Amino acid sequence: MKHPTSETFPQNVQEALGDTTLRRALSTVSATFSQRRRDAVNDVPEWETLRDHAHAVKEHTLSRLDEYLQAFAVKAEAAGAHMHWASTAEEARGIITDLIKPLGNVGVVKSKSMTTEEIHLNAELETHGIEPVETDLGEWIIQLADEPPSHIIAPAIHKTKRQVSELFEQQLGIEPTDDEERLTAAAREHLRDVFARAKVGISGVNFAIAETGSIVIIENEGNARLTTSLPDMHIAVMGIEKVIPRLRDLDVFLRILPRSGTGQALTSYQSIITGPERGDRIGPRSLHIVVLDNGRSKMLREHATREALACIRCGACLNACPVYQQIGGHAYGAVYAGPIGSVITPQIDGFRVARHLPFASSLCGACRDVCPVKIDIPNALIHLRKHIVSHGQPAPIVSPVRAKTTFRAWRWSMTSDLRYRMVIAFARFAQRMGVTTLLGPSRKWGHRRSVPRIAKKDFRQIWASELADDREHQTK
Amino acid sequence: MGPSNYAPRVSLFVTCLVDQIRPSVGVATVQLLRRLGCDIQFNPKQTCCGQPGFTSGHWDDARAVAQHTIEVLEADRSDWIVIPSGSCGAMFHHYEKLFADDPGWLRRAKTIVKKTRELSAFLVDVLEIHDVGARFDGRLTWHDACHGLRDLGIHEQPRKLIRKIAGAEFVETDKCDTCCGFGGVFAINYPDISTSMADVKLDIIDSVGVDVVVSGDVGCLMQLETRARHRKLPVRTMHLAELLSVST
Amino acid sequence: MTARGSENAVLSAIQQQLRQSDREFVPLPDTPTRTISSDDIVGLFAAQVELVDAQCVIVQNVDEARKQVVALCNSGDVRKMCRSDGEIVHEVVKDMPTNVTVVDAVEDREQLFVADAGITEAQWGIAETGTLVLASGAERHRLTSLVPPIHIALVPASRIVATMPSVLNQLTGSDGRHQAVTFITGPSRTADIELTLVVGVHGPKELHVIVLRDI
Repeated sequence: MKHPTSETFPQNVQEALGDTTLRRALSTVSATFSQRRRDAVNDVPEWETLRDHAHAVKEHTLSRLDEYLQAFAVKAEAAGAHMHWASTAEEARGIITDLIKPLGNVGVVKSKSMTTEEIHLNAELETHGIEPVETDLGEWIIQLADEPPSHIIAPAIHKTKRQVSELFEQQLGIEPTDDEERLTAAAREHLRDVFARAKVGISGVNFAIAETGSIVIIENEGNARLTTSLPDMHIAVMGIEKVIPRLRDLDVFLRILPRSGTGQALTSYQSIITGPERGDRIGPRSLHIVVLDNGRSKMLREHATREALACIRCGACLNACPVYQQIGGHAYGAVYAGPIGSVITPQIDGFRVARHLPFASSLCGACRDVCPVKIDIPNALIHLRKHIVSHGQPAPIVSPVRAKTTFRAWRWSMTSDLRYRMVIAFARFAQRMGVTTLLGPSRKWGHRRSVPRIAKKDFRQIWASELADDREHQTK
Repeated sequence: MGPSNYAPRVSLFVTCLVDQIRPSVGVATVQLLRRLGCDIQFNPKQTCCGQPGFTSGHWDDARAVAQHTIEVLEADRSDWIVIPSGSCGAMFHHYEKLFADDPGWLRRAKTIVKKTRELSAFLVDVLEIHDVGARFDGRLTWHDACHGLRDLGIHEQPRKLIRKIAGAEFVETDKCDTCCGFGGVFAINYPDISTSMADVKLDIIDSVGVDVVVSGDVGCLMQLETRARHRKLPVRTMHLAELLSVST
Repeated sequence: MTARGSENAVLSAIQQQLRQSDREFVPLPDTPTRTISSDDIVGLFAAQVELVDAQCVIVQNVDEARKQVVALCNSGDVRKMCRSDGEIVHEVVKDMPTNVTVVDAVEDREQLFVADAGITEAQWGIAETGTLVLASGAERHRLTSLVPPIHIALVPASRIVATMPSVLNQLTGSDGRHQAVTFITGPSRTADIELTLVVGVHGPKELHVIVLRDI
């Protein structure tokens, strides 16, 4: 199945808006998650203090990211982990393939990891005859269906239980059911065998602790625990931004992340893993940590984008976003969807491919309100729009040349009231004559909305003829 | 605010949307503020705050327009600048970003921003008036315009004013603080998403059965009104100034 | 390409961007030590455990704990139970009735996959959230607490603390003794199908916590 990319965002939007099942599912998921988040946040009177604290920890760490990463690596290696460094997605894929390939035809299990999605790891491994199995229930469902995830927290949320049942019927031969418990039990049973045979487990990383060289993995299902405990080899993939200074800094993030993501006070499991197991202990005998840049370091330069590296992938901004609520995750055509995705994706996939995304926002700011680490996402989006324009990359819809001309003309007419009045008079006349093609904006506006009319007499005329005199009377 | 007989000198920055699309909002603002004892200035050299260029990434152009606006408003030498729009009011605060590397203009911008208030904030926070002596017979709801709400923190002010209106039945609606889908250039870049967003709001407003949806930004009103008209929904839109200017 | 070569590439790219950046050096904020206003930490812990779809009983000693485990085995139809190498676990599961086979599963993962229950200790309990903390350097329970469908956890009351930071601080001082530290709050759960909560997906479906007052 061919997945849409962000390059075709405008077409993706049309498809998404036409899909009523998707839109119904989206409005439910957003409303449910938003409500759960609100309740969980209201339980914490010091919520705003926690946000400030988390923001400060991230801002501090990002400003010295090289030092903290180095410290983390030293500690992790001292604990017996192997460190690997990848500047690009390709390097990361190569590192991981080289680790698994020599093992021969072995079972590989994965727990949910956005970073491995980002580097398209599964497709790469498959070309080498390695078939990794996603073990998070939602991820596994969409892997069976060969579809991309539609939500950062609930990847298969676009599928109804009936669709899941049909999928399991075809692929696993189960009896059709509309009982989530039975569907989940079927998944457990099937994946148990996969787990029992697996020799390699691949996971993401939620936090990396510089002080101890530990990685922290947060989950609810237990599949990440199985993935990181049962196989002989554990490969953990993390972006450079995941590091935090100390173990005790974890407290604030454990308080804000689950509440913002699923509305839980705490998820079922957090695993703090420091090196491979040794001696008579049970667990993987080798731990490989792959540190990935893939465009992230470019975000460090300016405050607007550096801030976005503080993202802890909770998904709250997606649920809060009225645009996401209309079009869903697939339309963004990228691993990271929604408001924060529109900031991150251009850095990863390049501005040429992702140029539409920063413009796909009404800049309402609902995302900023809910962000637990206080990322000013609208500010970052405006910043990226400026970047796109100043680098002459095609702006959305209109060509860069036309955009440039349009705003030159706008500037010309708005920097003198004489020119302003002239342009308005012309536009008013054109609209009266029905020449709407001359008015690009109103043509775009008008398909499903009536076109606003330019007033016969504008305010400044009314002021001059009716209101200014009143002042004379009043002051006299 | 000085002796009680002193009339504050208030510059009206009317905004280009009010000027061209809904001048009645400007008229209402003038009438309302005069009724409350303000001395109103309107400098006809004013045009646009610069927001379309700013949010579209054309910062050079936006800077030029912002400079024009600052010059015009400086010339008024007013105590206050009042804007019947949270969005344009918020744009004034973004001048700090536009002129981050230009200390001269940054200082001038800050001076202007310091005495600028969105209309409801001016009434409630500066004039400290809740009851402006308005009357409206009907059922109405309030739509929080995003930039007023989130950039300027305007939430209670319009509600305080509306609750004092004689005859008005004020109902809060679900998602009153959700974006209407206007978003300036967004409404033109992505008309279909924008329209779908308006529908979410209109469906809720329609189900509550109000006569009027009131807001503080003509952009939102234009968005809701033009979509409502296309869908032949009975709801009308009113700007807060229009609502408050009708006296008992 | 060698791994070392790439480390330089990644770190120098970061250094280059940071040097040219507008970064401000904000200090690392202090982590406040949090307290909760409760004079009954153990009671709070038990209540919080119940809130996250797990069961909690408070008993006095090992003998009472054993009775609870036997009762759980009977009601949960447990025929085969895997145990960790924890000392209290050993005390509790000796002299179990003949219908329950207790297996030392530490070396035998085949047994883990067919067991009905796993019994372990927890190195800490966190009252605020009803969380168990299992530290692998202290006890071999990484799989016993995870693979079987029922997890029975024994928590001495003396190991129950108020909030997360006291555990994190103690772990910081443990200097890498624990390869895996697992925080467990309730049974395994998912809501991936239509957001409906289902308890017991990959990890245990049931979590029974037994607090021992005398230890």
